[in-house]
Amino acid sequence: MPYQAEAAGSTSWEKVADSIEFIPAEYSVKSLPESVAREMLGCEPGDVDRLVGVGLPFEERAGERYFDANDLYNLGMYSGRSTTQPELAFRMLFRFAGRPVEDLLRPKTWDVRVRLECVECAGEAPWHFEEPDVVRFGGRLEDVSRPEPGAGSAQFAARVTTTGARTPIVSPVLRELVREYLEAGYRWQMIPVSMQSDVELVHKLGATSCIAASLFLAERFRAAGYRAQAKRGWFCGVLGGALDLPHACVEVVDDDGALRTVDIAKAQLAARLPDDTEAFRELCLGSVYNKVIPSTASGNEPFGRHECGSPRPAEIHADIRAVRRS
Amino acid sequence: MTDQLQAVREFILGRNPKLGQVPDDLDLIDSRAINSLAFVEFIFLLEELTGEPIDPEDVDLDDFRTLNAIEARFFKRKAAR
Repeated sequence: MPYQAEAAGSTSWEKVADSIEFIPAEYSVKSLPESVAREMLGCEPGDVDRLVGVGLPFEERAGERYFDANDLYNLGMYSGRSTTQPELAFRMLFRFAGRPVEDLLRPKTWDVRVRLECVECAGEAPWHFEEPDVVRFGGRLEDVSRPEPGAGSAQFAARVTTTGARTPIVSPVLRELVREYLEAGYRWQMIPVSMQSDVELVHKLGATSCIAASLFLAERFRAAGYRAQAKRGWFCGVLGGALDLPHACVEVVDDDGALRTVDIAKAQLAARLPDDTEAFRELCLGSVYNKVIPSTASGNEPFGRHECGSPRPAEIHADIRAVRRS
Repeated sequence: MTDQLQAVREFILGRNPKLGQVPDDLDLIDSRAINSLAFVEFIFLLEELTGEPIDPEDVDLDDFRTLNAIEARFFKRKAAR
């Protein structure tokens, strides 16, 4: 099959490992067995040995090695092979970025179902959920069903209409700060949400990610005298909830008094594609587009919690599907 | 069974040799025969077999849940056109 053809000139695994930052031990969760690592990277047992030899962190349990999902994702993403699962996922999920952006500016309706799960639940209690927050950007929220107080798990459901608008940043100061960030050489990596709030650490490693970039940039905007806040949301079109792709952006009040959104990590990611993504990348710098559902959650806050007193954070899983036109 | 469905079956067995066989009604998602990242590879395979792109925005997991569902959604529908 064509997509399984090895890319010419792919980098050695040792060089790939050297080019990324492994997740520091305090944030690393080694939950994926070696068989999954080989499948994700499309590599042989000997390749995994070589990666371990150059520092890929692992834990050995019952005679089997386990790895952090983020480390494996980043190795695949920057392997240059074009055949690893992370590269395929990236190519598929960002196909839209190379198409005419007009499709991203029209109203689009999504069925949103979010499952909230309280791990180690301590009993009946109310739920708190940061809902989709689309009305401010011309969208609609309908047929809302909110999580009822209870134990264990709950669900939020709604029909959400998003839309887009070309509203590029007006302020030359803001544009300069964005340009500086884009040219600073930070490299996008998959990073655990818990680590992304450690903005200083992420950037010290030369890395960036949706939440870390948004928190960092919001701080820079505020330091320049602007009202700005990093906000979380959902990136739609990730295979019916089969994948989890955190989304965050900066909301900033521009010189003309209007609220603008800066989705800098998506702009950086789109720049990695071979297609012409300039129009989409420009859209990321102030405009809104219909593939993102903003929420009321701040940049470093969880989407939801259960008030039962469990020591573990609630797990939130969103399944977002486009409403099919009949 | 069509050649296309046989290719799908081989893809699943190739990644889950312990299954031995893939019944037409096996829930491929809940049984984790196709995990989240392998799912992307699987979609590329279906695109190749049908010759048509699949929009990740329009993916409904139920269309991929069983071999029966895959055949109905991707192969029979195309043959009927």
